[in-house]
Order: sequence, then structure tokens, then C-alpha cells
Amino acid sequence: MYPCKGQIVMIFSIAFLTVLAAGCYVQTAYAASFETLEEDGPHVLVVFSSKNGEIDHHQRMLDMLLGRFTHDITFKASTSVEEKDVQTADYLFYYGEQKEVLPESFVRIVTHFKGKMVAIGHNVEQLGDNFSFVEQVPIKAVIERISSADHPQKHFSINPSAIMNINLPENELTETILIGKKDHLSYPLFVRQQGNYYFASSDLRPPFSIAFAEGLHDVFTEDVSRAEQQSKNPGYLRLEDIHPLVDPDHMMEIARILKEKDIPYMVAVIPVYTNPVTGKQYHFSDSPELLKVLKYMQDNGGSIILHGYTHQYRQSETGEGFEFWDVEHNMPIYHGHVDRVVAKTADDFTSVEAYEQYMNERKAFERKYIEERLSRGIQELANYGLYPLAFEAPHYTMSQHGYEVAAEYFSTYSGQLQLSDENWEIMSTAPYVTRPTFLQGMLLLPETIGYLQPENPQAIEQMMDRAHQYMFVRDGMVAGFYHPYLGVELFHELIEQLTQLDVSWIDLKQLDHHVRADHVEIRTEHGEIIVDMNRWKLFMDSLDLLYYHIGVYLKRFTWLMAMIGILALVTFTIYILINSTRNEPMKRGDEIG
Amino acid sequence: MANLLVYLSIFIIWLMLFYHVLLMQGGYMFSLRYRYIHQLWLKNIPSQPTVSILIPAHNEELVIKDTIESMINLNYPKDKLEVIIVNDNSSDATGKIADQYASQYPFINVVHTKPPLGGKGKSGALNQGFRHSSGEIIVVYDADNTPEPDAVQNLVLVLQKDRKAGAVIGKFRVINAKRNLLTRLINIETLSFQWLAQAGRWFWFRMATIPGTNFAIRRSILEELGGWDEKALSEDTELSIRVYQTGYYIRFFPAAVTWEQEPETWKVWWKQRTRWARGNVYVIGKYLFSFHKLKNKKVLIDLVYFLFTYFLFFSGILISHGVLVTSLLGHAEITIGIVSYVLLVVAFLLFVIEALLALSIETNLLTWKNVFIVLLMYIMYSQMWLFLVSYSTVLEVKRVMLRNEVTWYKTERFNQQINS
Repeated sequence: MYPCKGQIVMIFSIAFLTVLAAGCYVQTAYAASFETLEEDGPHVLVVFSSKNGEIDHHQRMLDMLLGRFTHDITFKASTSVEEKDVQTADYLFYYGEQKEVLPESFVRIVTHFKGKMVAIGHNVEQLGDNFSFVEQVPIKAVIERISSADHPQKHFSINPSAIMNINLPENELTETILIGKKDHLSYPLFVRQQGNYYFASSDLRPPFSIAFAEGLHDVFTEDVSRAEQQSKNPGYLRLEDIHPLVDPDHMMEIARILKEKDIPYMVAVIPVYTNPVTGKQYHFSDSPELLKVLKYMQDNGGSIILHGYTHQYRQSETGEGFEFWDVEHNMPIYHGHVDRVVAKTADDFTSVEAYEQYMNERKAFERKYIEERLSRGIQELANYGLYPLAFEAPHYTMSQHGYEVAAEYFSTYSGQLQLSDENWEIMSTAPYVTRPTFLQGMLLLPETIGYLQPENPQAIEQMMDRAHQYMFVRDGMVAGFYHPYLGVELFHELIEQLTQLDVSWIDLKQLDHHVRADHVEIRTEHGEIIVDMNRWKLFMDSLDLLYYHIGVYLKRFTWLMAMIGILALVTFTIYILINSTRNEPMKRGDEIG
Repeated sequence: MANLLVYLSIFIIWLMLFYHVLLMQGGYMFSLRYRYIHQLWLKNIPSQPTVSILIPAHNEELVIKDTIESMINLNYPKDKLEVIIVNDNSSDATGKIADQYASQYPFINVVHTKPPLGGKGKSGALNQGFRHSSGEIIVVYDADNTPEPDAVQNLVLVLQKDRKAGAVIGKFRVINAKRNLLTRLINIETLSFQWLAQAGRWFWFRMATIPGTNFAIRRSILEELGGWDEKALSEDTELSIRVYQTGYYIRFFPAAVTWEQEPETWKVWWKQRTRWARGNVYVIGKYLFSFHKLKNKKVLIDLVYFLFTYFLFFSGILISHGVLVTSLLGHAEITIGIVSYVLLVVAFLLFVIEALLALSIETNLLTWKNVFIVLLMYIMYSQMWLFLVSYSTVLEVKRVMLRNEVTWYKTERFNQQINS
């Protein structure tokens, strides 16, 4: 599939092209399963009411949800929004994350706004005539199920959760899109009156994100007409934590199963394994068998993604440790792993400038740290002939600044996202493929259904439950991951269940990606991986990469020697047989020795 | 680092192994061809030249009688034959036995040497005998040899038919091969050596090395070269190289057969082999660094071969043994993998098959017993070579450093009658 390997004998090329043609046919079927925006999309203004008027994880959650429909999103606190901000907006979102008295200026803007408007959560009663159709009821509503108003059979269950209890006027202009239910009681969850929508929950995290996402399709339908054409839900399966000491046999069996079932998949690769006790590092060059399997995977439906460089920081074990987050101090990597960590806040500085200077230094450290690991990871894998197409941060943890750095190397991100720089545990996912603004251009292929935890007997069941939840959204993603060290049997069980879902599995190669590191550039075009690598400069930068190739050739050469040796053995054995038959009838008397 | 060493030793070892494969292939093809040439030549034997047979003998009373008897039985016109027994400072009955035969047979002569001229080793004795000789062709036999009746005639035939051959060597067989395990091992070793190294090199490169016995050389060449180098411990190898400098080659002709006695005890074997190994190290020292002066560059093949055998192959084996030990102790990380085991097995099998092929060229030697002995040879006999080379190299280096004179160790003989 790669141009550099294109020169094969004619007959092979023909056979190859036939296979390729068949492959393309299958792959086009997958490619249509979801759409990504080619242009920026409509301009969306998000006005929010938050604790201190700053963007936090709530806004980033909304960012993830909106990123499906537009890349042109502006966030403004209700206190700072001005008339001119609204003038260019096609859509106006108000996120009432918490109660506050809205400034009159904002209420005035809302009243005059001509485009579509969506209000979320609190403070809707202050939004004027446009939202007077939403009448608040003081008693909280608790729901256990969310369903579509038009298609009552389309629904999903959730844990009992409170939403805003509202009453709607009985008229033709008002329409309920989504309904929350508990037993025989129904509560409107997502409603509209002409161009004004209201979502009756201030919580946008899953599972409300699922409902809200489906509702957004209604909001944006006129602008993104293609969204209606979706039939199958997209999904992906990721093989997780593939480091150099992973058992190649398990991997090969899994690769065969997936190939046989014609399911494309992702392989989250960690180029270096660090032994937590000895500190000794292992690279893929140390396990040639596994490398062979990974290449087989890459050629047979698998797509490589970079899952960190070591998947650890300090002394932790690869696959266990956090790499881009100091989990001990719950902060970004602003220091060397042996440095004493002193966390300072703005209050520790006498001037704003001094604090900014301090923060810039720390960010520069973090940038350098991430850059080194990402470029090293890309270079090392590309040197083996493995071409990562996307990135996945270990344990999904990374600071906002980290995403900014990662975006300079990758155009695609797989997994969930950390939404806060204060606490790694605040992380979430989107229900569909999206491009939130804080990913700085990266496309998010969200992981939604989790992974198979061996200690949990209901693990697969729970994954399937989540899958059904996410399939409520018309292009809702069904994506989970599996650790191959758990063996092949569990994998069989999982894949049996997953294949019963009506999901079309994403072939990463069919999407456009751009991966860049020094001397290496990887991109995809029409399902092909195109690699632009300056090997010479790469080798000059680090000789290990050259040594790997020398080692490969040396090994091939030794095999060649063994083959010639065996050939000589066979030949000489034939000579001996000829000689013994020739000497047999003579039996001369000189039998000595 | 460990990997690098492993690869290095593997390549050195396998370079040697492939060279041996090449030689064995040549040896096999030659074994098919020489019989045909021999038959062709026998059809037309020209008038035979005069021949002097030199037999250096130092305390050879146990074996000299059989040797002289086999000379009397030679199919060669006795008027053209001259046997010169060099009784080199013997303290036993060697001289007496020889004198007895000399008084009975006019073509047998005895030269008695005493210090300072005598007793300096084989080269010295040969030079003494050469001085007393008159034949156009000089043939040399060790005192423990009993050549077959046609041996000398066949050697001379080659020099008559092949004008480019300065010397010709025959094949030697082990007379006491069935005596014990050691002689059985030596029997297989000598046959392998002759069919692989001598025949193989002759076939591919028109080269062979004088083995010290059962060979014929033109008098003119010996005169030009001024006889044997008395400093050389392996005078045969040394002489071979000089013969090549005259522009002639040395031909291997296995139709001329002699039977010789091989050491029956490990002690004697060790001393003999030490001398050979030291002799070859001497030759490397003498010619390798003055290689540019050599006229016939073909000799380089042999010099490089010696260099490989005694230094590089040796280092290769040492390194690979060393790495094996350290990795067994868990100190080295070897990622070369399964191919190293394949190579190990193939190398072992090559050794076995090559020895068996050499045995199969001879009549009735390919027996199950010999197959078993070949297997034993690899684990036991061949590994002794490691110690031998180390020991000899140390001795030779010491000699050069201390500028000592060489002392010749004459191989001890065994009484065939008593033993058998």
C-alpha cells in the first residue's frame, strides 16, 4: 500500500491490484458512516454563566458537543458579552450552568437575536419573550429514561437523574423533541418553539450529552443536511497498550480474527517498555516477532496510533503510569521527574507579569517534554515501518496546553479528553466524531463504551449497555478498547457481542490524517498511507534508528548463510549416497580403519 | 555490544565454514576426475628418470625395517633408484639395521650424521641426504612409512606428464587406524584433511601443501631453493611456499599411496601437533608481513587460511564460547534469536557430513562405527584444537621474544608387530 514498496514484479502487482480493488469496495462502505465538516461551519456564539466567569470544563464539554457541527465557536461570559459579538453569530447558545442574575445587556441581545438560539439549564426564565414558553415548575423532576418524542421506541435508560421540571403551553408552535421518563411520568427534556430551543438540564456530561447531541442534530439540520443521511452508527475497536513486551501470539490471533471478520481496528502502540524495578527499557527492535505482527496488522485492517512514548513518568510501569500528567501532584508535567515539585499560584507573586513569566517557563518545559516524546515516538515507529495516524494520551490525561502541542504533531486524537487543568479526573467524551476548538484542530474520535475489565463479570454487558445508549444519537459512536494480554478467549466473547450491533467500523486509513515530526511526515490519501521520510537526517539525529536497520540486515544475512549451509548439507549427502553405491559392489580387500 | 560480538564471531566462523564447503565440493569433484587422468597416463609411460628417495631417521629402530622392506618392494627400475637413509644422530639400532640392508642392496645407501651438522631435526637431515643424492627427482618418505609398490612410480609419472608441476604429493593412509580411539580419530581427520584441503585446494586453486612425506620434487627446484629451511618447525609448509615462488605448482595425486603410523597416545599426539601448529604460526610470521615480496600471490590464499585458522577463526570460536557462557550466566542480552541455533546445528552437521563424504570416497570406510566416531570427534577431538592453538601460539611468541633456537621434537614411534 505504500509507494516506497511499489516496485514488485508484474504478476504480483496484478494479484495485488485485484485485492486492493476488493478492499476499496469494502472500505467505501465504511467511509460513509459519518461526516466530518470540510469547512468551518456556521458561527456559534456561546454565552455562559459560570462560577468566576471563566471557561472551565463545562464549557469544554459543550465545545465537544458543538464541534460536530461547527469549528467556529466563540465563548463569552454573560457578563462580558456585547452587541457586536452577536452580530456575526448564526447560532446563539446560552449555557446556564448555574443560577445567576443575567445582565440586562445580555437579555436585550437575546431579545433582538434573529438566528436560532438554544438555552441550556438555569436562568431560562430571564431570557425574555423568546423563551416565555418555558414555564419552570418548582418541583424537581427525576427521570430514568430518555426517548425521542417522534419515535417513542427510540429510547435509552439512565440512572435516576434530576432535570429541570418545565411546563409547556399547548399550542402548535411548541414542540417536544426529547422526553425524560420515569415510570408513567414524562417530562419534556429538549423543546423548541420555532427557532428557540431549551434543554432542561444544566448537566451536559454523559448520559445527558447523548440526549443533547441528538437534539443538536435537530438544531443544525438545516445547515448540515447531510447529517440526515446517516444510517449506521460508526464505531471502532482499539487494541490497547501494545508495548514491546506484549505477547505476539495473542496479537496475531486477534489480528486474524479481526481480518476474518473484516473489521478494521486501531492499535494503540507504546514504543518503549520500562521495567519499573530495573528501569531497563525495551524497544520494538527487541521483539522482532511483535514487530512482524504489528506490520501484519497495519497491512490487514489495523491502523497504528501512538499511545505515548513510554506510558509512564517517574518510576511507574509502562501501561500503568501517566506520561503527560504528574498524577502524584495532580498537575501538568512542569518539572523533571526527580525535581522537587513546588506548586505556586498567582497569589505567590507580587505582579501579574512575574506570574506570567513563571507560567511561561513551566509551559515551555511541558512543551519541550511533550515534543521530545511525540517526535521520538513518531520517528521510532516510522523507522520500523509502522505509521501512526493518530494520538492517544496515556490514561487520556493531558493539559489543555498539551493538546495544543499534540495538535502540532497529529491531526487526529483517539479516546476521551481531560477537560480540566486542575484535576485529571475531570475527563469526558463526546457522543460522536467532533472537532472541539480546544483540540486546536485535532479531530476527536471519541471512545465511548470503555474497556473489558477482567475482574468485572458484567464488563461486556456494561459495554453493550453503553453502546446502546450512544446509538441513540443518529451518528453516535460505539468505540471501546481491549487489552490483548487478557487473551484471545475474552476477545472472542467481546467481538461476538460487538458484531451483533449495527455498527460500521471505522477504518482510520480512510480518513484524512496528517502526522508530522522532524524528518517524518505521514498522511493518508484515498485510503493509502503516504510517508515522506528523510532517513538520512533521521539516522544523523539518532544512530539507534540506523542500528535497527543494520541489525535487520545482519539477521537476514545470517538466515541466508543458514540456508546455504543447509543446501550444502543436502548436496553432500547426495554425494555420499552416490559414493556408497559406487563403492558397494567393489568390496576390495583393503579394509582398514 | 554482545550482539555485535555474536555477529562478528558468526561471520568469521561461517566464512571458514563456507570455505570448507567450497573445498569439499572441489575435493569431491577431483575424486571423480583423478582416476580418469591416471588411467590415461598409465597408457603411455615414458622412459623413467633417476630417483633418489630420502628417508630421514632419528632413533627409528622400531619402524625402519618395514620402511626399507617397502622400498625394496617398489615397482621402479632399481638401476634408476637410489634410497638414502639419513641416520640422523640416532642412539639406537637404526644405523645398524640400515647398514645391514645397504650391504645387501646396492641401491640402498646410508648417511650417518653427528653433531654439529647432524641431530638438528628433519630439515637438517634432509639437507644432508640431498647433498649425497644424485637422482633427477627427489622423493621423501618419513621413517614410519610403508608406501605401496606403485607409489613412487605414480609420483614420478606426474612430474613426467605435467611440466608445470614442481612437486607432487601422494595420499597417506593410517596403518594403525584400528589400534584405538585416538588412531581412529586421526584416520578420519587425515582423510578429511586430504580430500577437503589438499584435493579441494588443488581442484580450485591448483595448490597443495607438501605433507612432509610421500612427495616428489624436481632436483632442479631444490637446488634453486637451496634445500630445506632448517629453522622451520614445519619444514614442509615452508618449502611449499617457496616452491610456489619458482612459478611451479604442487600437484595432489592420490593414486600414490603410502601407509604411515600415527601417534597412539595423547601425549605423543599433543607434542606432534604442537610442533605443527607452531610451525604454521612461524610460516605466517615469515611470509605474511613480507607478502609484497612473494612472486606467486596465490600463496596468499594459504597464508590467509592459516591466519584465519590460527587467529580469526580461533578468536571467533573464543568469542562465541565466551558470549555463550556470559549469556548463560545471564549477563548478556542476545536478540539474534532462533537463527543462531539453526546455524549451530547446521555447522555441526556440516562438520559431520564433510567428514563422512571424505570417508565415502575411500572404500569401505563409511561404517556406522565411523559415523559415531565423527560425532565424538566434534565434541572431543576438535575442541582440543582450541587448547592446542592457544598453547602453540604462546610458545611461538615466547620463542620470538626470547630469540630461542628451535628444538625439533621427533614423533615417537610404536612397534606395530608387538601392538598387533
